Amino acid sequence: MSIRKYLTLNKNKGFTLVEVIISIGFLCIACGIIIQLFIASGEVRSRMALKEMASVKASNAIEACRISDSPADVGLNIFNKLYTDYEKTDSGYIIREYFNEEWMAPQEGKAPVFTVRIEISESQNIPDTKESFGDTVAKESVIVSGLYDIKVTAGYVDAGHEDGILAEFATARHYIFRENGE
Amino acid sequence: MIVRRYRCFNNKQGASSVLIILMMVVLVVFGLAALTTSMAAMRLAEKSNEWTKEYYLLEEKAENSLFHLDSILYDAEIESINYIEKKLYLKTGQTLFPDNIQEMIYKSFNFHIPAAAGGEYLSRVMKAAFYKSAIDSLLDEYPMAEFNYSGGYLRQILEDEGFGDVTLGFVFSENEGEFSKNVDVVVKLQAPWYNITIENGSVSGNRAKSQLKRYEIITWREWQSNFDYSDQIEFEDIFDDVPSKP
Repeated sequence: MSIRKYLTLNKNKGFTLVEVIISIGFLCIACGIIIQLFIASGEVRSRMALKEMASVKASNAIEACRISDSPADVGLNIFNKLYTDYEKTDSGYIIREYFNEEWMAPQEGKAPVFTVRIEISESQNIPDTKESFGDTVAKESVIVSGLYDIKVTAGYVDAGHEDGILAEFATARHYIFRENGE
Repeated sequence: MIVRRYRCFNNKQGASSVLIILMMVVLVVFGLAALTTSMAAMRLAEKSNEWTKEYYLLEEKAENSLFHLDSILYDAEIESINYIEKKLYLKTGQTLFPDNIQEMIYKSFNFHIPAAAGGEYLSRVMKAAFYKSAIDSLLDEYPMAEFNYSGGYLRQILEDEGFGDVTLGFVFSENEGEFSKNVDVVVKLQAPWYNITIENGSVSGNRAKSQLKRYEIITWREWQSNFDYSDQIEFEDIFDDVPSKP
């Protein structure tokens, strides 16, 4: 080996242990910050998806109520299915529909994560319309009409959850139907 | 001089640091971009939520008005029943109708219409009474609403000449101003039809089962006021809670 080549090799000195440790430390701190950014982004995205899904479910519930003829119809027919419960109040119904973490019907034995709460209350009504008048005809059939308020909230089942309610809508519906169903 | 510069570029010390720094910058930029898009998507979801909420509030206003309209029409129906039940068509004095129409009803029922067709004629009188009562009340109640009806409607109904629709249009607005959301509702009044029979001087009527509602919705349109999209790019603080333009 010539003296010239020996001197060239001697120039490529390696890093010392301290240098490596310090550089790895800096790298870890920088990577930590970057990872935090990605994690925060993921959290925001999943919360957005939750809000959107809650909004869709709440909107579906309102539309289901609006096609019904009366508060009783909503309470007893539309939501008379699995994974729901309802209670009768003085003026209407409170119905709860339950979902798992993917906003699907919850599996048996597993606690539901989300719920859609529908509150239907009759706020005003119009006196029943009689089907006939005069002395010679029976006055049996009536036409019933009125107004009911719908309030829907979609959110976590756990009431103590910090993000409890994800979507909340309210509207009303003017209904008219024939009581005898003819 | 030139030789010196080339020597400087030939020295590869620190090249790996430059690469690492570049990589970090790229990663930070990607991280920030991901966070920014997520935040923007979140704001969009919230805005969509607000938008839906506002439309449901608008629909609530419309439904409340329909309820109010129906209660007016219910009163009109009761008044038309009372007119027949109290046999006001046998009077020549002041009733629900203007004097000339009342006189026309009196003369037609007592002198011109055959007894067998009396029930059908009273059904038409009842229909006219419903419209008279409803239109009077609605004109008082909704002076600003768009209200269409034929001036000679009472005579047209009584003489069975064919009768144009009576329509009432409402506009409900939310968030009034440049980006207001609106619901247009147009309804057509429908008089309930009673099949009236006269037996031994007593009058009775049966409501036709085919018709349930006293009004029919002929238009229900939800729309937002027009606005121009700006071709200028505006940057705003996405972390700021103040909502931007819809």
